[in-house]
Amino acid sequence: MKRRTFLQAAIAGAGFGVAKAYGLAQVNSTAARSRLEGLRLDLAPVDPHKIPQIISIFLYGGASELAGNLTNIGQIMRNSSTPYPPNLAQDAFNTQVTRNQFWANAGGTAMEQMLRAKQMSIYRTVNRVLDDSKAHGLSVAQNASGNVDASMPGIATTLAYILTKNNPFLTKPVEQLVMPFVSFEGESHIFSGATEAIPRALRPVSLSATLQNPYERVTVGGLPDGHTEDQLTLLAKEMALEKRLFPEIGAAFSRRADLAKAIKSMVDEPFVKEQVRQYNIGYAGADLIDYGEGEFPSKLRAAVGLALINNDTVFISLSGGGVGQWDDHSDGLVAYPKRMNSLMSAIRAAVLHIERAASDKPHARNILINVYSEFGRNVSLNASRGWDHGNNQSFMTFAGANLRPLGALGKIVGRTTTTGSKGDFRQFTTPSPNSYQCEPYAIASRIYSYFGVRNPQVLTGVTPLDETVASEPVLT
Amino acid sequence: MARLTSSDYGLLTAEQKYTVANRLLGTLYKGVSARDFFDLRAGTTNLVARKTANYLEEIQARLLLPDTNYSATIAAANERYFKNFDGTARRNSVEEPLTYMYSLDLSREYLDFWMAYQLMNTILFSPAMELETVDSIDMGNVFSRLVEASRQNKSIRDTVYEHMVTQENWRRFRSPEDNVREMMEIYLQRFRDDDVQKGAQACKNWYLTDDVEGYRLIKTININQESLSLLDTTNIVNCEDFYRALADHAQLIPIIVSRLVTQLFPNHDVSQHALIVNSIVATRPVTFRDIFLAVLFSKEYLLRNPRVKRLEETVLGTGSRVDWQPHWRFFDYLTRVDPTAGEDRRTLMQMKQGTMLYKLGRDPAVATDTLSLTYHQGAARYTLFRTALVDVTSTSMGWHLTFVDDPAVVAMNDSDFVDYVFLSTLTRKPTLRERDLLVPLLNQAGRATSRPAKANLLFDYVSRLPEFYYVDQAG
Repeated sequence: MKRRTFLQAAIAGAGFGVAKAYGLAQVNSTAARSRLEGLRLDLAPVDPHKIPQIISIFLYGGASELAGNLTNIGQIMRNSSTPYPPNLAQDAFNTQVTRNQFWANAGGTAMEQMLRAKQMSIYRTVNRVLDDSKAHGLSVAQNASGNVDASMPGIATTLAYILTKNNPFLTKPVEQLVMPFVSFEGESHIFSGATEAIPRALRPVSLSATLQNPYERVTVGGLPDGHTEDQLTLLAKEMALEKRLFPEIGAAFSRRADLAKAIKSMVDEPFVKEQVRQYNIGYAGADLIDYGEGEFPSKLRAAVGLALINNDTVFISLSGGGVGQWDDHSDGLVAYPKRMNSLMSAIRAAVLHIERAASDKPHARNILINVYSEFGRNVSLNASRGWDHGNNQSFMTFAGANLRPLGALGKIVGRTTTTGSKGDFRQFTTPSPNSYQCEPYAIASRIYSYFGVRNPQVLTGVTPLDETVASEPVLT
Repeated sequence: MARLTSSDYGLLTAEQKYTVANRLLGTLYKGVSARDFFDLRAGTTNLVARKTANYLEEIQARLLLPDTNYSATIAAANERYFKNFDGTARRNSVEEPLTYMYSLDLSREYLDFWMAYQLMNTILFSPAMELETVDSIDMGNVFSRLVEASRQNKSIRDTVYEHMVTQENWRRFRSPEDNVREMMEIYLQRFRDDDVQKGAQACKNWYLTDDVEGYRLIKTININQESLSLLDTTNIVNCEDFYRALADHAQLIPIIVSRLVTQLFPNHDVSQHALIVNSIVATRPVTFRDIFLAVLFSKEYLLRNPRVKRLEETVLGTGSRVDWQPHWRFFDYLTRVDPTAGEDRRTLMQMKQGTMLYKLGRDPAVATDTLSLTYHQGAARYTLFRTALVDVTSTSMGWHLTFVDDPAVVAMNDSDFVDYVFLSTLTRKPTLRERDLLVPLLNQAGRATSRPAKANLLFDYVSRLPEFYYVDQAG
């Protein structure tokens, strides 16, 4: 039977839709505003040479951790209710388990390269203790809010609020920032909860993976001529203000011309591709920056290109796929490694891209990439050869050397053990006793700390992910 | 939920009646033109409705009557739209619903199609075309099943049960744990992990094969033998028992009503939502038709439901009022899963309104991020308003000159003409400020003697207005 070609990441950004689809109450803007404004943030100035630029990649669906953690594979294979292929075992049949326990064909080779080059760290024990919900909607919303309380504003909205209180840009007020918040996944919960307190300039702009410029207005049939264009534009703006309903539509339309100009003058896909080509001069083979083909690689290339050319962009959100893309309930052994391999190859290209750019763009080392999901998965293979919902997941973070404490990159953090007995449908990894572990909201806490918040736990309920914790042994 | 009765409707002004009628018809991807609704022979200053106070009742009556021309219309639609460039026939389950709805007049068959289309764009029945396990045949099967269920007046409970046991449902939620969890969350809003374990046990002999074996639903003989208590009942043993218990659960109807109310009233707050849900549940709806008709003809929906429009409503609803027609590949392009379509090939997916695509259905709130809105606006500017078709036999896309060549329209002065175009697009007349600025512009840049050019100018302006993309409240 012919199957439709796998659709890669073309449908993204249903995070907010996920929450609403599962009947969760919409974030109440008034409540959100009062909650942020009532919090006492302890703020430190941000070094203007180290203004963070966060590329946040969320893997909707609940990504299996196995690509980055095969430390328990022996036990997992022994107990799984459906057999795993023998080449995942760390025995004579092993072809897949790398020296640091990554899954080679599921991006593990790329991860080994990045780990060795100290461009990546992996935290294997991001574990939901406060709320072990295995429901997509709630879990996505909690992760996007950076808080177990999913009614808190999204991480990007909170960051925008932080910027209004702690502007690191010495040369311009936040109202003059150009595209500080960008989404390659449309509206998502990570941008929810924005209120009038957040200046319009800090509202997200959506871009397409190929940096198409649909914002440019095409003249059709000679319309409108210059003078008429101005009059119609002004009149439409007046009417929009008068009507007041759905102000976000008027706001989006009024940004159109500026966005058209910004994209045209700043970045488009040919420009970014040329940038990559320039940085590849003198390199060959595995040292080439090669994002690969497909929707996600294009988005990531666009995101890195934008961050490099535009210091004002402090937060970019993209998904590693549409809703459910990583929800590998079936056929996981085929689909998941392929997808993870594509993801990690693209990220490796991004990391090389950023590192090469650092030679002429010092702020390149302020660009940091985070990858995580709403929860991990069951490690017992089910009858459909997939994995059902779980808890413990891996968080992976790349680049951003300027922002982190010394030694924060090149680490493997956390040890896991497994639960469940032979033949059980449900078997999970869980942090070993005495292992470092943290809630997923610690990731948001860490992000806020980069922007000068000394007490981010008031925003997330948990302390930041600890980048100083000791690494497990890393084999090179 | 209070219905908008003929008496209520009769109390509205002619212009308000027209607006409300088009709110209803727009929801159904149709419209009534200003020329059909009003008698425009005396101009637009004092609008006189041709349609009576019973107009909404007439619309409902049409939605309950069979279409005697149904087969011929479908055949004609197949002939026009479902051909390859070489003239050979083609099938495309994804574009069929919208294509057939565009071609059909309001009728019982039309309502069956429309309801199925709505349901398939919600979390309740989305075929989830975005998943690699799903293809267009699945989409076609789900659509056909829902249409047929409606045609046979099947109950909501039976319709849900018959959907849950299908391969299409399992291609969306693909393992026992996944399927039982999602069914309970979707249809009962029940989030109990221990129930998931029990339900998975009941369904343990069902599984989905992999790509090589064609993603088929297999039921082995390893059937559960243990009697389980869940879903507030005992003696659930096998997977069919589980689905039957779910479909018969007391919470099913209220949750389904709640989900549909969320879709149809996306900006109502929690308390408003609850009021509507409770009032519909109190009527003990049996079929999906009971729910949809109760909502569509209600005062709440027609008078107090501000919401951003779906693209279908913007283009097809307005298109009905300006004598617009699509070209033969329009619905194909519109429904494509292609984020990079060209300027005149806007896709629903570009504006985050992909059809029958998303695993969890369309977001109840239409996407209003900058990119999605820009694409939505682009669809209005470059597909709906772009081209005036000179030849009445043309099969190209655009609006026919019949829109401006009607004798009553030809006789209009510029001020009335602006009224006419505004009524046709925004279902309102211009403000004084708009009239003062636009009327002089009609006679500039060579437009003075060209009604099509004047219409194009006004269309250009309308497409810039946020209100063109949302439904206001009140009549």
